[in-house]
Amino acid sequence: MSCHPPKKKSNKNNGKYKDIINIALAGNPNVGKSVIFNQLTGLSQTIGNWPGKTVERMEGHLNFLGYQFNIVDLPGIYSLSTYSLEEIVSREYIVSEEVDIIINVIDATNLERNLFFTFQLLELEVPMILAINQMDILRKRKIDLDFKRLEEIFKLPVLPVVAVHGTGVHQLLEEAIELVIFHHPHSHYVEGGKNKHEHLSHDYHLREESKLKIAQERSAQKYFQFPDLSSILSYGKEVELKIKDLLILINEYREYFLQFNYPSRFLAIKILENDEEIINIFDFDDKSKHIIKKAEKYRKELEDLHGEDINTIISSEIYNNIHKIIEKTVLDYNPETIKETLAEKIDHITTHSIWGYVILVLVIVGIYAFTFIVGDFLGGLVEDLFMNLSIPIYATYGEDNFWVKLLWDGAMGGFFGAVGGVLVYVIPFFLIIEILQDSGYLPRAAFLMDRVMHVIGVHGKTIIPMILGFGCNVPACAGCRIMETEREKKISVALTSLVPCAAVMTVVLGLVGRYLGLLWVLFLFIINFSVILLVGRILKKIMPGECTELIMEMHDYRVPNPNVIVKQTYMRSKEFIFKALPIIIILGILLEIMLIFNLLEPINIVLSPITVLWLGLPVVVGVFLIYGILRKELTLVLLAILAASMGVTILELMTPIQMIVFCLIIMLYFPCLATAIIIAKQTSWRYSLSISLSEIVIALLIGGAVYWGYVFFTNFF
Amino acid sequence: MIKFGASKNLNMIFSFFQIKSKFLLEIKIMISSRYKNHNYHKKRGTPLIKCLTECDKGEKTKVLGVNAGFGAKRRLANLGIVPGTIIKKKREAPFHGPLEIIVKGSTLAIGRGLASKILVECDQTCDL
Ligand SMILES: Nc1nc2c(ncn2[C@@H]2O[C@H](COP(=O)(O)OP(=O)(O)OP(=O)(O)O)[C@@H](O)[C@H]2O)c(=O)[nH]1
Ligand SMILES: [Mg+2]
Repeated sequence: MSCHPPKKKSNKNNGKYKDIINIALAGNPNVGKSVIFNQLTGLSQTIGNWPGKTVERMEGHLNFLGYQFNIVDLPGIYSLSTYSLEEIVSREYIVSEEVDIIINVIDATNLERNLFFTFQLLELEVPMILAINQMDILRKRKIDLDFKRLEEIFKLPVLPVVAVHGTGVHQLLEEAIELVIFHHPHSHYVEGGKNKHEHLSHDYHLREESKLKIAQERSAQKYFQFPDLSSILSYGKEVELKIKDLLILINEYREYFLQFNYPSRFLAIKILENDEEIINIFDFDDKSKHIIKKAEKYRKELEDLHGEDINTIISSEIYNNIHKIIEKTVLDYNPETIKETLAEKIDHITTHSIWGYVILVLVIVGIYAFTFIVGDFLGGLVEDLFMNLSIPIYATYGEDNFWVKLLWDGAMGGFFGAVGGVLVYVIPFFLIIEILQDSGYLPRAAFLMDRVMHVIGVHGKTIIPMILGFGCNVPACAGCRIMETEREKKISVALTSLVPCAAVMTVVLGLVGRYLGLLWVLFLFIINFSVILLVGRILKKIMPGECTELIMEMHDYRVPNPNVIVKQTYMRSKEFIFKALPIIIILGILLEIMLIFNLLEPINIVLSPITVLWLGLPVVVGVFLIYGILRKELTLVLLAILAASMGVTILELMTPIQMIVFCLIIMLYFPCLATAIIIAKQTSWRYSLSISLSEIVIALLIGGAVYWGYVFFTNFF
Repeated sequence: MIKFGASKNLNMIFSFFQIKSKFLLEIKIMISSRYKNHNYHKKRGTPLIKCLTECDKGEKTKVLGVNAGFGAKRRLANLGIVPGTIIKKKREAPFHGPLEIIVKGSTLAIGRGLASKILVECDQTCDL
């Protein structure tokens, strides 16, 4: 009792909980890992219907049946071979000390491909539970699975789950407890988890005893006897012979390799497969070099024998084994009978060679139109409210009262400006982006745009973070990690940071849209997208390296889940409110103070050569451009406050051409501070800085060009 | 453990097979590049070898091999694109864009450059 459990995490155990179980959710992309994670932990990981939403692992906690669970949501991956960075990270994490049990989430509608990853996980010999998710969809297709049989085959718990309804999610944890307590997989499958739940809590105290005896100082991984799965984990006679040979060699020197958590067989397979990562860490002395040499020889023999490369041989064998399992366990499996559903019709039209592009344009225009119409309507209401509330306040305290100016015009003006000018646009915007995400449209856009994106040096997947960038550049830039190579990630990040985000859009719609009409908004967007294209071309030229090819899974369309959408919109808006509103209100007060004491003048005068002479803007906007670095929507709010405190409308403050130039500058001149930071995190500070500087230069060039073009045009025609 | 002599023998067999399979593949490529006219093959009933990009929309084919680099080849293999797999071409993006194919019951989008490196044959078994 006195000695501590070997687990790092278990040290946190301060007697409050009986035991801590660390669980990792692993599986292919877009199978529902994050839905399960959110269900279990109550957190809000991004959910949507496209592969690659989760880009970083996320941890959450919960207490269940007297245990504390630490649950980790991992990025979805297709295999444990190293094609992308995510796969290495996930692999290392899964075998690390920190994981007791893997829950392998499997998409029931796509068993064959999902089981491939399961097979790879099995080689890691970590206690595992198979969660077959999206059973609702499978059953709708009148297909069912033989779970009893699956458990017999895998000798591990296999459970049906419908993550979006929360069905079967907690049974996963019960199964995990059992795995931990008894260190061996149980083999009875009880239909309907409820019985099991009761049975578990009834037996809880009985089990407590046995658990105390054996489980207190255990480490699940250490004592867990991984079932003998040699019947399904077999890659053909010749390959197995070679693996066995390597295994003997590796086991002989096992003490040298103890620092790797990987089981010997996994090492043998990966060395045979020529896995760079494993070979790199393995390649340290003569003995290991000898093993690598041997593996090389074997690989060559096998490749010669089959006339195929080793990965193809092993993958084929795995798929053969999977096929056998599927034949045994999938009831009424007949992929041919699936008739053309509505989803497929939509799929057809949205990837059509003409209509597809029309729809793509309509979707992007629709995002803005919807946001503008809803936002404009609500914004008008809020503005009226503020006006109506102002009348009695001005009447009782006087319009020129210092405190009225500070608190009402400054603070409340900032608040109403933020709500009426920004929030009313942001919420419908997030809503429509969420709907778009969860429907499954994004991969179609990537499919259609692949060819175009090749022109600017990346493949079609880049369009996904770019569309998400319409919402907010910050998570979108983080999402650029779905790009496979460093070069493509860099280009994508740069392009995404130029996409007009929700904040920019509020400025553009609230200023140019409201006062000059939507046609001018279109004009601005055309300029913005041309800049993106141009920057892409330039980056393609200066970044060395080839563009990789698109390989992306296209999941079926789905009716967006209203719960998911409302919750995600709420979470994102909440985050926005808590981050942005305080800043806006404080800056509103600050601006009033500066106005009252005339402090704006010096800053504006310093900036005036640029703002007034080169861009032809009113002198007062100089300081807003500095605020805008923090948050771009601030510029509009502050402009409104300024106009209110000067007793004029914005239309009197700025001429149409000034509005257009101002919006152009806001659109292009800097990825906001948060975006710059996330870009630095994704790439490097140097790169982030050079993007920011180039964007300032581009903004000034284009803004100046538009202004001087206008001056030229009006003077000569 | 295999005895030395036996493994040497095996080796010889291996190399023989290698020559044979490579030879076959080359011939197939030759045929396919010479006779791009599909009707020619259809008339004769010989199996038709072509790259995935040359397939018609909705056509079902069987993978013969992948001619890509190590990384891409492994990724495709992991996704189930190995010799013998049946691929159905679903559609093609315009302007020489990527292909959408159905493999192992799920849909994949694959860049055209890569798809042109996937060699397929159309034979009776997949002529459903
Ligand atoms: N009908 C149905 N849909 C589900 C179920 N589970 C998940 N989904 C949907 O599947 C999609 C993907 O779910 P996510 O949890 O985001 O997938 P993920 O595995 O985390 O994906 P990545 O983070 O991209 O690897 C979402 O649109 C979910 O609404 C289910 O049980 N039934
Ligand atoms: Mg996820």
